[in-house]
Amino acid sequence: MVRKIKKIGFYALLLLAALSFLYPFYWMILASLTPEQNIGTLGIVPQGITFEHYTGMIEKIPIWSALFNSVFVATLSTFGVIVFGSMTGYALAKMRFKGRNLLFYTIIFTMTLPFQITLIPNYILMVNFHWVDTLAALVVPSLNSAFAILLFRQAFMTIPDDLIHAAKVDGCGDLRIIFQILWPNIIPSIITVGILTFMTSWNDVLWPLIVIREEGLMTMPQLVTLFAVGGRSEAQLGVKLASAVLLALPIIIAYLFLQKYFIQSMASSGIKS
Amino acid sequence: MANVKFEQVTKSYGKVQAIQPVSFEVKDKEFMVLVGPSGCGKSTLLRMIAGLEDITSGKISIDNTIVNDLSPKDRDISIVFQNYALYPHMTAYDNMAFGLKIRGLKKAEIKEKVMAAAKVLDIEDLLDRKPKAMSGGQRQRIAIGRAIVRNPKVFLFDEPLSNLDAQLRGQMRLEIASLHKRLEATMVYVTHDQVEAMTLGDRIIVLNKGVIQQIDTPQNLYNHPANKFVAGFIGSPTMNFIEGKVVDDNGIASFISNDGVIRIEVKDKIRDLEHTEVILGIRPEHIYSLPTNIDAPVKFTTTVKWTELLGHDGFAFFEINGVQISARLVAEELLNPPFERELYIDREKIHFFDKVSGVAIG
Repeated sequence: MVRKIKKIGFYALLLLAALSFLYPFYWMILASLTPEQNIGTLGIVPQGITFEHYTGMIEKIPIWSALFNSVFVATLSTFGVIVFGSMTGYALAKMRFKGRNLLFYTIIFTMTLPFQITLIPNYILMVNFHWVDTLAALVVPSLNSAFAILLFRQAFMTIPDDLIHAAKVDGCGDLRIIFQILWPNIIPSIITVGILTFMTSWNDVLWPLIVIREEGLMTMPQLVTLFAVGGRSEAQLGVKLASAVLLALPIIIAYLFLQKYFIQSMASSGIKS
Repeated sequence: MANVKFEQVTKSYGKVQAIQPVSFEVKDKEFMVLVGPSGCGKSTLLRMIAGLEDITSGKISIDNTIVNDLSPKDRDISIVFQNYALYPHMTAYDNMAFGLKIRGLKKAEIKEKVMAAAKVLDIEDLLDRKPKAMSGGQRQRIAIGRAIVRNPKVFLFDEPLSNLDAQLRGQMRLEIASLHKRLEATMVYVTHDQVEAMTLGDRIIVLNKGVIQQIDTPQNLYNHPANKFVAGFIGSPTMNFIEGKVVDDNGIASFISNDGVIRIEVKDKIRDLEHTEVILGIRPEHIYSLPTNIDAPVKFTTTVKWTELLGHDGFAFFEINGVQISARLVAEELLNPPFERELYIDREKIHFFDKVSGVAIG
């Protein structure tokens, strides 16, 4: 009996914690569908449903082109990080060359540098490449990441060398080994890197604010931020929340589909390390 | 099929020389076994043939073509690994077909070859399974199947039976031997198990610390070991070594053990080594309880301290020079130790080794 009560108490606590995370999302979605005058008094129960905030937002800002830009940039960055990150991780895990460990530790070291430190040098680089106000400024600098390299290296280290040797004898080159032999065996790691990269790229505001000024090239978070704080929302909370919902929705959907792999990879890499 | 030739091949890792200059030839259709203790360099030699390990100097040729700079896929070899190294995400069929697909063979041709190899190994019913759904023995069969499906010039085996239990190991050993006969292929086989080496090899290379100790047939290695290391490594249980001196014993050149228990008349080259310290080697199976059926029996008396019974026969353990010596005797003679008894050494079966260099004498 005591055990049962303990269990109920434990689950009640978990439920409370889950609700405290979920409620703001719920409220945001509900408020974005509630007439402006009712938002101030909105609790849990809907007080009238309207899509006027969404239509208003679409009229005021080029949200669809921003959505396209965000999808384009985040997809390309994710693809790049998975491909180049696994190639670098493979080299650091399975190839023998002078300075391999030094290179690895240098890459790890870059993870400790705050983004703000490299912001200005990166911006100068973009100016010199004449990439300011182009999507290349958003995509190219994020085509590889130290975190992805670390995760792929650790995943490849767990794969026996003989598997790679067998593939070499079978006639594979290094690229075929990575993409045809190793990739199918590290799917949770690929999905983890994919989700995290996509989320980071999708949510990034600061870097796009610095390198993109033309509205047609802006990403969603950039446009929504400018919209929310820049005055075009005319201090209407409903419109701001509608844009926030649109911003969060793709990531939530992606996470719901892929969360199994995400948790699996996090759990397994924890055990292995 | 083809020969494999090593000419003055070395391998160094930084300042450490893992393989001293080695030269040997594996003849066409020969089953050559590389044997030695852990870390002796036998797997390194095998991987050098495969191209998975670069060589530091020398020449390796396969079918009379130097392959030093050829990648593994261009050497026309196949290899079976200790841990099977099957692709976990592929079925047994795909594992076997993968190498053929990469080489651009047509689907029908691939199917024909895979099915033929599967028939040889009796694994037709496993082809749809993935490695994780198979036992160790089944996986190793698939790995062998992957090797034979390409019909390479040379088959390489890197301790392929080490992960299997004793019973399965014996069974697979026979299968590999019969496979060699059927395929008439050149095979190079690495093992640390001397039973595998003795039963499978046409010839055996015994390695220690990156140096070839002897290359010979199993029988010659057993009967005429080139040095103390080979004598100790080949044969189970290991050969007994007794230290002593060659002296003039009342006008007869004799070997006398340091504690004086063993006295054996010596002849030929040993005779010339008077006052030299040597090591006598005698295998446990060449120490007898009766002098019958021995050409030249040498008697000694000792106290058997303990015994090990293995069913039909067993081992008696006693000490000479304070060193443990074993003799293989029939079970009835091994009861109730300790006991004193007379034993006989067959003089025709003894070996002598230089005490310093370990090289066989005579």
